[in-house]
Amino acid sequence: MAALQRGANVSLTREVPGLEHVVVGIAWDPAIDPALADNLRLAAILCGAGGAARSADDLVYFNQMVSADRSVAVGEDPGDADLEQIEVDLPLVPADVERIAFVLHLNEGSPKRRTLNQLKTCVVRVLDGRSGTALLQSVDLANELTTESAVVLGELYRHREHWKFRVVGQGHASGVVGITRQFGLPL
Amino acid sequence: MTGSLATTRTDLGFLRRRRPVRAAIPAPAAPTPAALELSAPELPAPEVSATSSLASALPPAPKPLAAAPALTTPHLPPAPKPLMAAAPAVPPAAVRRPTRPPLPAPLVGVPSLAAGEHRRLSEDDPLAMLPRAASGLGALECRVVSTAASELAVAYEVRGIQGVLTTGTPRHGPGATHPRVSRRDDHVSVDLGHLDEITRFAVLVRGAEGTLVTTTATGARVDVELSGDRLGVALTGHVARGCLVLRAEGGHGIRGTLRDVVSAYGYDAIAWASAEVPLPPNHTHPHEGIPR
Repeated sequence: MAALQRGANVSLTREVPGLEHVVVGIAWDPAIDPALADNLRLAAILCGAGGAARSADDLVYFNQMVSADRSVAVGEDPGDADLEQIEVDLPLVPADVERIAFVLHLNEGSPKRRTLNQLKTCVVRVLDGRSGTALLQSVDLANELTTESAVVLGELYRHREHWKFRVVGQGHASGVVGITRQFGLPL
Repeated sequence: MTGSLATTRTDLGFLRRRRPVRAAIPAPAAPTPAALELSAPELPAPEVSATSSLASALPPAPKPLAAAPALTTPHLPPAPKPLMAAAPAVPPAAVRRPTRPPLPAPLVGVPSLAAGEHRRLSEDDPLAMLPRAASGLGALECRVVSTAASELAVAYEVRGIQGVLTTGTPRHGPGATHPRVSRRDDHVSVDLGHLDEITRFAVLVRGAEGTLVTTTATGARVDVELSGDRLGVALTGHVARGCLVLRAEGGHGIRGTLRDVVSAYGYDAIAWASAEVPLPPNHTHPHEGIPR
């Protein structure tokens, strides 16, 4: 499987007809600093028109594990290959949700401050949730991270009648607060 | 029979229940393709079509079948229907129902604290609740603003472990490896990025007239007035249905030592070296963490 570069996209439902259940997983070097690993969190943000979240319910993360429509949820057992996963039930995604962004962030509430520069590897994968088959994976996104404390890994978005996934890899030095501003999350 | 195969099996929803994805394990080939092919096939259509045309021809001339076993004839009249009936049977398959339970609703009647909002909590208006989406972000920072010398302590319950951070104890609880609550001089912080491990906490202040200022990563702020020189609980935090609920305690109703006040708030699983000196939750040595 070829690794997708930043900006590259794949039409998932065109390549895999009948695909309904998608899992986005994130894997990083398990040998990293424990304080870094302890504070890394994967989140998803459901976005409506214009790429903005519709409400605070559109943030799906460890403290809000299921979206209000129950189409997006934090995976409770990421298995061996991924450290965290988020599951998406495509037919359940509301029609006014145009894209779902996947974000890795360092929670900055810990006294042990870190940055994503300390990640040695960071790969996002997309799997067929029914079979567990990996559909695509990104290149290592860690190599361009420096002082960032949050990064938009990729996004699942509608394109005509299909769902596509794009690798993004855009970092934020202002952490999850910067992410919430970018997506207009009304917290 | 063939007509029913042409439809998507809406009654087998349980077969599609989510299971943890273990990518390292090869895809379970047998069940999945079978499930996909059941819903996909266009194969039965020609057969249905043939049956249909045959059936439409049969009613006027049933006699040739009379010699055949009677079992065949009762099936003939309804046969034409599946061709058209099959299509209406499909739409329900497109209506997927969520399998996950919804999140519990937040507490009713507790005023919410929005991002950037500034509130002053008092006896008359003691409660503020961070929304669930904001409750797990960043840190909650509590700081005493006072011209007088003051002393700050925090009692906590994290992962079922109770402890107190005060002058002379370790700075982080429940431990330094995975700190969730921290204290330094006039400052207490609670790591909301691990809210799922936190049950509650209580911020205690002694000897201050001023304000306990509490801020969040989303820019919200609550102020609690401090008065008097006795030890008291100024602010408590409880996690309820994923939301952090802050309450101004008015602080000075309970008199006594640090142990007395902390115990009065239900932190009764803490070991003490003396009435003012708590032991760390993981202490292994009688003098560990005790100021000398």
